[in-house]
Amino acid sequence: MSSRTLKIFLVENHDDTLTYLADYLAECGHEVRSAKSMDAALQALAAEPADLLISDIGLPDGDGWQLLRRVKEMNLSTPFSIAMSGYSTRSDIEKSRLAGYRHHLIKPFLPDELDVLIQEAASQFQQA
Amino acid sequence: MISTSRENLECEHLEDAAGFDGALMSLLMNSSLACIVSDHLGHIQQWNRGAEALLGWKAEEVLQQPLSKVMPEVRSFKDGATFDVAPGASRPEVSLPNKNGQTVRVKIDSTTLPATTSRKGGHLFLIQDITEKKFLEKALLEASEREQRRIGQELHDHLCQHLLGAAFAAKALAGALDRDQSEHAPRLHDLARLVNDGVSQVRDISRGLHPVELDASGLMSSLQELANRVAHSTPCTFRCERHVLVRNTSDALNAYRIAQDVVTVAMQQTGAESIEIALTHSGSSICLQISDDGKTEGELTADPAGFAAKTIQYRAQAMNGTLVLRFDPKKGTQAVCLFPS
Repeated sequence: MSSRTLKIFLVENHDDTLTYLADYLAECGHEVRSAKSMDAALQALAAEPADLLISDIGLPDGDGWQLLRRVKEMNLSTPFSIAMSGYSTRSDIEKSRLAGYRHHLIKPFLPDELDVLIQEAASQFQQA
Repeated sequence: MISTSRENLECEHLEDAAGFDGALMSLLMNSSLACIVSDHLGHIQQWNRGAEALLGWKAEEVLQQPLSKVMPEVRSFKDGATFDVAPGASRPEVSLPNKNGQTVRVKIDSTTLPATTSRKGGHLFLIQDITEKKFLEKALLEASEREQRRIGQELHDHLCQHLLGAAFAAKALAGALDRDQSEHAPRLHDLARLVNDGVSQVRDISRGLHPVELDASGLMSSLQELANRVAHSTPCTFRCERHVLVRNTSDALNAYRIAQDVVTVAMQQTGAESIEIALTHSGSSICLQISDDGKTEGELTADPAGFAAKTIQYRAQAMNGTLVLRFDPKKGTQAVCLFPS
């Protein structure tokens, strides 16, 4: 688990996944906010930036790639971002990279796999 | 002239043989199976109703015509010496055009007819329409594929997500107990690890049942993933020295399933201590080879007519490829599948 508290913004429209991820990250000591759609996420991020954006790729009103592009167009601050999606092809992973995501997690991923990336994000902020 | 008893016997044999040949030929010519007889120069001499029904030509349209008119694959017939359809051999499967230009999928068996007093030899071809058989084989593979995908998807979307929720909750709770310095924390960490293992296993099974992607280069990565998964229980390597692209998705999936089935038999039946999956170019073909060092014969070679062996043979045929399965008690089992690139 990471040593620094991060402001994490979760975008996930699957209720159960959103609940267990949010609960887990909060239990790890992070400040967690969430949204279930791209528009809701953009509004919330515009109101208050996050250190780390974790977004599903399949969203009801767009996709995670569009979301990050919009975040950049709107100059919203999300220094570290992680995409997550189910059966991912190499082309999906490449799209995530091109959109600006630092990592692409393939669902289902284990807590340990998420922990490694959260640690990386936390250490980036510690260095900054 | 007085003949000896030995000569009498030989004459009787010849008469019997001639009588048998005649009866057999009559049976074949009246059969619903397409039956064609050519002379030693490759000209059609007999053409039965089965051939007419299958290929559309009437006997009067093809008699004395070269075989190549109805079987374009028989091109190089010269003095009865050379056949693309090897005499005596059972051809795998070929496509023949019928009179209307439509393609008919057939299996051709042929044999050389010996010279007699009335003819200089020739060839007999028996042609079996396998359109229905191919349809059923394809339907069987597709049904099996659909079921595997459905089960894989269900595991991925439901059981795996459910277990994952438990895994995250257990780990979060274990972390909270750590912070409280609870004596129960280690046991909850153990529980979290068990749930994690469960998730990993379900994820592996789900990915095996529903390979992530099989685009042009996807077969390589899917086989690498298969080898990685197998290596959890049996040492397994994947060898692919150069980029091997399989553009036909259906071929890629069939090749993947062949590898998966052969590897499963190696793990469960042959006592293999190591398995190698190799994907290479072989001339204009692609060669998929799976070898294991198990000293016990598995069902694929022990029962070549069994369901498991037949299924992967169908898959190879669906790719217009060939599959050879060998077992050597000293070396193990080898499966070699060659298919067009």
